[in-house]
Amino acid sequence: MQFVNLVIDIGLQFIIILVGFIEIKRLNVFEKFLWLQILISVINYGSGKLLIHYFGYSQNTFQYNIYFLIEIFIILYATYQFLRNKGVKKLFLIGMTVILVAYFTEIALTGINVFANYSFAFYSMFIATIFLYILYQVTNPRREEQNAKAILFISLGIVLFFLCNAPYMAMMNYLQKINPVLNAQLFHIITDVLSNIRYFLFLVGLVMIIRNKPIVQNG
Amino acid sequence: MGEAGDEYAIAIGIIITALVILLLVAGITLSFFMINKEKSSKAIALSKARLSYEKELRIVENELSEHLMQQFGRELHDNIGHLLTCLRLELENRKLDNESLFEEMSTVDQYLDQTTEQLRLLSRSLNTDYVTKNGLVKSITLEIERYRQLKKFDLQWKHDYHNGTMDSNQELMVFRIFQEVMNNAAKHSQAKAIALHLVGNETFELTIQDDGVGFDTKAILSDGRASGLQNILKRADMAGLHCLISAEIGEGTSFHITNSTQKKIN
Repeated sequence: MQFVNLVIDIGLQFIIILVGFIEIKRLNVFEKFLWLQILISVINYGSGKLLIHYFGYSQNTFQYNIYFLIEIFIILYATYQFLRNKGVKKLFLIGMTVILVAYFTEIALTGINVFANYSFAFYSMFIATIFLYILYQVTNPRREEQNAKAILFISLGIVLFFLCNAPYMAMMNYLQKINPVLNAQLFHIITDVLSNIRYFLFLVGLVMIIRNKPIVQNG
Repeated sequence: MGEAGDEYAIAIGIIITALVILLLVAGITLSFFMINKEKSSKAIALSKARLSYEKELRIVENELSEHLMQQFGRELHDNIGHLLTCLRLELENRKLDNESLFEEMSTVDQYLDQTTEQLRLLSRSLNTDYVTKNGLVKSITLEIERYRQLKKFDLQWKHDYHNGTMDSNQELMVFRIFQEVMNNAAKHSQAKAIALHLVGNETFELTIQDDGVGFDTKAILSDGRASGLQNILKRADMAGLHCLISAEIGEGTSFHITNSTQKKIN
């Protein structure tokens, strides 16, 4: 099960990166940055494996904490580009600032070698809420979004991933302390499966964008 | 054993929560679709009503403009034509009284002839009945004749049109489009030559091409300056025809009116 998940995960991410790289000109800023987030996620995953297997690190949690921070900024920029309503944009910026404050506070309190899971849980719920709003926007015909259906699939994947992952992420460090084996199993059952659903929906969206859209010359 | 049981209870709780959230998201997405579908159907109904209102408005506008043109044509023929006839009679009387005037008034005679002829042709071309009765080819030929007399540009006129390709309303619309195009060409194009080609058997095609200064179609249509061009497109739309306008600055202009499905503005 774990192996199948891993193969699907790597396969989907590889296809997304390859397709996105070839058809980058067809993507707008929002789509480009969501694609970039997946690219960085793969680089993070690969370099994490390298750190442990080739450089002898006992754990690479600090790397995931750094990746989390990078992801916050990528999602922040992508989503900020998509949102049109000034009020929602302001709320979004305030929310992201609160997440950053929570993140740095948690890192200061627990150290870089403990995953900032509470900030991530909060971040997950916040991002899910924002992408639920995006989901509502793209199903609204008045918005006249060029790639409404594609963004709908991508957003649905993000909402499912972050929202369903939030309860596990909130309990992750606690479970790691009391039962690391169970924690690992839960990670594979929840995070890996959700990750596969997210990337599959992203790939569907990406294919839709490529099929529907002419090359974007600027932006 | 008790601790392990708690741990698994937490794990199962997390999985169940994740599944509940999954279902919740599915429900929320579905409700978004339903809410927006309802909004969408309302918006479609509203836009259909607006379209139908605009269509009605255009028909009324068109009928009004045809009525005005007909009246104007009749006025030209009956009133101004009559005054010109009186002028001609007066001139002839004066010439009979004074034979030396024959020579002196020869230029005035020529101008008077030209004015009468232009007036006759113009009043016919404005008359809806004339277009309906005589058909498209004859009406266009008459209008071309009028432009030829003005000697503004060379006109090449080719046609292979079978009656019945279009109904009389469509023919009238095409004729009005043709008039608008010719009027625009005379006023703005600085063209030296205009080529017209009319084909009508199974498909209908009218091409009017000039070698004038051209224009930026998109810019002119978007800034709302071109009421003439807008009229052409509106009329074509009303007649169920497609109008392709190809123009470039310094490269002349081409209007292609057809009943085929191609529709594009260059």
